[in-house]
This record gives sequence, C-alpha cells and structure tokens, in this order.
Amino acid sequence: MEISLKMIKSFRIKNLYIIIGGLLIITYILLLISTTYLDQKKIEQYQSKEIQSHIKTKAVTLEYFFNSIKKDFNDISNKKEIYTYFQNKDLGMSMQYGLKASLLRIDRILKYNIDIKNINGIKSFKEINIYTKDNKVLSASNIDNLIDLKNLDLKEDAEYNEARFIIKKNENKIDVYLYKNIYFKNQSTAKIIASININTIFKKLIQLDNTLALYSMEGYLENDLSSLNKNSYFDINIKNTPFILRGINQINTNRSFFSKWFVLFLALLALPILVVLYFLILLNNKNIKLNEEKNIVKVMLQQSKMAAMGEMISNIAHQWRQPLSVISAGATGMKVNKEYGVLNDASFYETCENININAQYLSKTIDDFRNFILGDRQKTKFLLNENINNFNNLVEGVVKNHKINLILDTSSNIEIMGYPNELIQCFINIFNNSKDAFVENNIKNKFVFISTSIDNNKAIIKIKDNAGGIDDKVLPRIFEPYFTTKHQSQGTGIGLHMTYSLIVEGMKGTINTNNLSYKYKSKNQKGVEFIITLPIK
Amino acid sequence: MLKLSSQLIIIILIFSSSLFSYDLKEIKQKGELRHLGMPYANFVTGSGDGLSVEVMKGFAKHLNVNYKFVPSNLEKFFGDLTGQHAKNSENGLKLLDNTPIIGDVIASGLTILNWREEVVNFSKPTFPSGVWLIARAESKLNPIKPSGDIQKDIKQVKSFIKDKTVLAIEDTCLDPRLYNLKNTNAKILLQSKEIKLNELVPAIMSRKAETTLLDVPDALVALEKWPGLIKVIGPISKKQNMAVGFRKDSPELLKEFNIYLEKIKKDGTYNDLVKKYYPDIFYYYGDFFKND
Repeated sequence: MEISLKMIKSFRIKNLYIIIGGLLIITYILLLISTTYLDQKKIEQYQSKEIQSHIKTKAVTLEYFFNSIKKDFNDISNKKEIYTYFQNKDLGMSMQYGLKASLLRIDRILKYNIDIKNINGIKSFKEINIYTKDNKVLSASNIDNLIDLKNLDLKEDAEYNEARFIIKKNENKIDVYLYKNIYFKNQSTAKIIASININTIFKKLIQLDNTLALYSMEGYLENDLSSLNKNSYFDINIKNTPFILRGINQINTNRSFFSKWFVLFLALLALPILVVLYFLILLNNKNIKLNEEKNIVKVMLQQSKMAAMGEMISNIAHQWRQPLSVISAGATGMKVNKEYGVLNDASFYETCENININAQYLSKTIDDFRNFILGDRQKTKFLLNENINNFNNLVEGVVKNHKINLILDTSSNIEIMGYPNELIQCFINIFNNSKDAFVENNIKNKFVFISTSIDNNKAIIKIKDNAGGIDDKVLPRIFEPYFTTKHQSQGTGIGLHMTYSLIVEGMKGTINTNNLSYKYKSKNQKGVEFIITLPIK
Repeated sequence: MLKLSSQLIIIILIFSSSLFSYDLKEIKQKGELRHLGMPYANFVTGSGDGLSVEVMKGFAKHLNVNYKFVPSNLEKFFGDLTGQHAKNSENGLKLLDNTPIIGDVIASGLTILNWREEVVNFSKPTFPSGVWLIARAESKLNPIKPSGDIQKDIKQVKSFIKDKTVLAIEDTCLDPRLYNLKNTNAKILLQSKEIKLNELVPAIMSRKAETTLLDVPDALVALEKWPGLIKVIGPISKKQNMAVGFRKDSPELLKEFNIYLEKIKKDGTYNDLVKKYYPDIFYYYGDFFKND
C-alpha cells in the first residue's frame, strides 16, 4: 500500500516535472520571442540609424557636390578671359578688330567647362550664359538653348557678389541655377548664370533607390515623396544650400534575419509544444491511472492472497489433521507394542515408513502453500497440469469441506511460459466464485470441471461449474473492478477483475465467460464456464 | 651672234635647270620632304606642332615620304629654299649670296607679297591675313570705330600714328614700305629680321615703342597671350593671304601640294586644323574657309 502511494506520488511528481518542463520550454520560447523581438527592435533601430547615417552620408556628398559645383561656377565666372573681354571693350576695341576674339574665347571657355566640369563623370552644368547688364546675351555655351532670364525673377538691384542657387518651378519641373554678377572696375557689368544638371546628378550620384528625395521650399526636385506622412521620413539640411535631403525612414524587414515572420514562426512553434505538453500530461495521467490500477490489482492480489491464507490455514489444518493422526497413531501404536513386547521388526519398519510418508506429505503441503504465498513473480516455463495439481492441493481442504466434486481432465504435456502462482491464483478466484455460488444457490451436487487442451497453438483451459450461472445482465461486467453481486462482507469485487488482469495483461492471454447448460451423469446441469487461452511458450 | 649666244644661255639655263631641279620625283626618290619654318604664331609653335607643321606632315604622308622640319628664319628662308638669298629693296627684288639648298618648301605663315612671288612660287592661299596696328593697353591711342570700309579704316588708323613710334620689320609683311607708312609721319622703328616676330608685343609692353605692326593671326595669338595688356587700334593693310612657298623649279611639287590642299579642305581636315590653332579666325575671315 505504501509502495503504491509512493508510485502514485512519483507519477504526480513526474506530471509536475512535465508541467515545469513545459513551462520552462514555453518560458524559453517566450524569452526567445522576447529576445528576438528586442533584437528585431534593435536591428530596426540600427537600420534606422544606418539609414540616417546613409542619408547623412548622401547629404555630405550632396554638400560636397554643391560646394564643388559652386566653386566650379565661381572659377568660371572669374576666368581672366571674361575680364579680358571687358578690359578690351573698355579699351575701346571693336568687335571687328580684336574684341570679337575675346568674346569667342569666352564662348569657348563656357563650352569647354560644360564639357569638363563634372561630378563622377556626370556633367555639372547644362548651360552657362553670360548676359549684359541689360539682359542681352553676351556669351553662351549653346546659343540655341539659352536660359530664359524672365523665369528667374532676378532682382536687378540685388548684389550677387557670391554665387547663389536659384530654384525655379517651371511648369511641372523644378530647375536649379547658379547665378552671380560680374563686376568690372567695381561695377556690376554682366551676369553669369548656369543651369545645374541637378536631376541627372541626383539620380546617378545620390539616389540609388527611391528612398531619397531632394527637396526645397519650391517643392520636390527629384523623387516626389509628398504622399508620405511626416513620420515616415526625416530631413537633413544641406549646408550652404537651400536644399533639404529627405530620406524615407523605411526599415527593410526583409533584410533582417529576425523578421516579423520569424517571430511569428517562433510564436507558432510554442503552439505544437503546448499541444505536445497537453498530450504528455494526458498520457502521464493515463499512466498514473493505469499504474494506479495495476497497483490496486497488486494490492488486491496481495489482499486476496492474505484473505486466502486464512482459508489456506484451515485447509492446512484440515489436510494435516489426518496425516498427523496417522503419525500420532503410528508412534503411539509402536510405543504400546514395545511396552507389551509385541513390536516386531516388520511392524516397526512399516509404521516408520507410514510416519515418514505422512511427514513427507506434510512437508509437501507446507512447500505448496509457501510457494503460493511467497512465490516470486517471475516468468517461467511450467507444465499446465502440474500447475492445476498444485491448485488442487491448495484447495483440497475447501473441496472436501464443501463437498465439491473437482473433476480434472488435463493434458500432461502443455508447457506454458508465464507466472505459475498467479495462474493458480486465477484458478482459486474462479473456484471460489463457483464455491460461493454453490452456497448462494444451495446446490447439493456440486461439480467443478477443469479441462485443458491445445487449439491453434494456444493452451485452452476451461473451468465450468453447475452453480446456476450468472445473470446475463451481470455477465458482461464480472471482470470490472469492484463489481460484485455478493454482500459487502463476502466479496470485494476484485477477484475476477484480478483474474482478468493476470491473464490478459500479465500473460497475454484471453478470458471469456458464458452461461451454459449441459448434461452430467444424465442430469441437466446449468452453470458458468470460464475459457482461458494462453500462448504456448 | 649676241642674240644666238643669249638664246644658247637661256637654253643651257633651262636645260641645266631641268637637269639639276629637285622636284616631286626627286623628293619621292629621296623619300623626304624638307619643311623650312621658324617659330611664328601658331603656324610653327616651336614645340613640334603648329598649323603649318601639321599641314606639311600631312603632305609628306600624302607623298608617301618622310617629313623633316628644317629650322630657318626670315633672313634665310629664300636662300635655304632656292640656293640664293634675296631681299626687297626700294628698287625691287635684290638677289644676294648663294647658299646651299636645305629645304623643299617654306610653310610658316608666309604672306604672299609681290617681291616674294619673284623669288618663289606660292601655292593656293592657305590662310587669310592682314596687318593690324597694336598698342599697349595704356596707350592714349584709341581703337578706331569700324566704318564698314577697310580703306577708310586704314586711313583712320594711319591718321592716328603721326609722331607715334611704330615697330616694323623690313622684307616681311610688316614692312612699312608695303603700306606707305612714311607718309603718316609715324616714327618707324625697324627691327632686325633676327628679332623674332613673337617679340614685337613684348617690345611694346616694355615701352620700346608705343605701337607695333602685327599680322592678324599673330595679333589674335598675342591678344590671347597677353590679355588686357595690348589693344588693337585698327587695320594697316587690306586683306592679305598666306601660302606655302616652292622653288620655281618645283612645279610638280607645287601642283601636288595644291591637289593635297584642295583635298584636305574638302574633307574638312584643313578647317579642323585651323580651328585647332586659330579658332577665332573664322569670325574675321569666315568666307575664306567656306568650302564651295
């Protein structure tokens, strides 16, 4: 009983372990998800910083570009040839005699600079024009494609000593210009203006994808991001220019190893684990129940044995009574004969032999009971008829007391691999059931038939009585535990259930029962028959 | 008898001329074209290139002979080509000492002048020119206002230079005699022919004279070279032409050159070369470079 409680406790602990293990796994997954999520966040933050850094780098590149282009523009506007022209003009030279050469030289310089001024191979300027103070074209990189000054809204009085950017929206596009006044003898003499190849440069130099836009107060110069909300981009002012580089703060989750899908996958991974955990607990509970049942059976077996022991002791007493009286009578007879001097050798030896035989019988009886009570639960080969004989010896007292006719019809050579003591226990249980039924039904001529045979490579043991049979409604339930039709004081409802367990689970056999009517000694008999099949070794 | 002997001399001269001439056939046989030139404007830059150098290199290639540049100067040009030095004088051409012939053509921005035509045969014009009067930037002389008539413009310029110092070089296109500068009462400062033409502008900038004569191609180079330091007052001459000079006894070579010149003018090679060395000249003499 104590052992069984320990085992149950052990199973409960096992269940607890599973739950703890499950919880640990779930905690681990949750931690994994949390860590992954945090990592994801960190990666996103890192990516965001990376994007910001990327945009900053691009802004620096743009700043470099704008500074560079501004410097180039200043260099062009400061070319000595331009001043030479104004000098020559100031000297009074005529176009026909020399001045035109100065002007042609400026044309060439403008064209040349259109060709050579570039950023990473991309031309910086589209056109460069020089206009007189009264807005007449003086020199142009391409006379057929002049920059229209009207669109630029230049303030005539404004002093543009330094090159400055002018951004103008023309229809659907925004153009960027660099503009500067040309001074000669401290007087604003002309104006130089260049249209910047901003779109091409931005596309090829800066915008590798569509996540960047060049923005100014006049609107988007390149890559219109006006459809985005304010939170999805950030701006970096490009120093010394009116431009803003606008970058989309777009985290590329596809690039991240710890993608949202991965987190989802981890979360989903917890689901089958929970299911497995549930089934493990279920299985363990079943095991607990099963083991509880097994233990109960064991306990019952033990109880059954203990209960049987009382009966056995009375059997032993009954069985010992006759040999003991034989031994006692023999010994007393020899003593009397000796006293009267009539003890001859033949009588002495006969009496001693008789005493010895009866003592042997007593010893065997003791061995039989001891084997049954203390028998180890070890699977062994045994002969079925020997096993039935042992059963017969054990119940001999009961048989005689209740005047039961135990009729054996056994084969001598059926060898079985199993638990012999447990099989005897099964026979006793079935026999006791019949014995009780004989009493209950007040049967006078009591018969119990035990026969063995081999069929289909299986040992068949049939046990039938003539105790009247079992109610058909009750019959299907007789192997259920704690099921009994007997009074509480008599039956425990364990015997047949234990028999079923020992046969079916213990020895991989089968046990069936049915009511039957038959004739024995020309009389109709009605009883129950138990058919046990056991696998032959 | 005298008549007979003079005829004989002419025949002998003609014979000897044909006997000792060094024309196309001989050049091809020798496999070398000797180009006489001197550093001058962008015709011969002195750096191994120049408009004349590239044209003559092309011509040598056209003849399938090697090209050789033979340095010379204004004083030696004609002697180096013909074997006898020559100069212009008030009485016309004056032949001087004999000298070894060391070149086959003169191509160095040589202006076609009457006296020169007596010494050498000129090819078809290769470059337009003229002579301008150049002054220092701070000179009180003011450039003329073009009238649209070159004669009037020349007259106007000449009217300006009374009592002004004018640098000139005899026997060249800058020879004051060619333009009757004596009549202007200008102070003509004749420079030695050994002075390179390139040194005329530096001379006025160093105040050796107030003005100088310069042919147009050289003036354009000077304006580019010394921007703001000199100014063009106006023209001294009408339009002139430059050409390549050939020995009188090299008619076949001359003829072949004219064929070559025509060819490179037609295929645009020539204008490309001019654009390379004198990009502004098209404005001043656009008609000259038109290919009909």
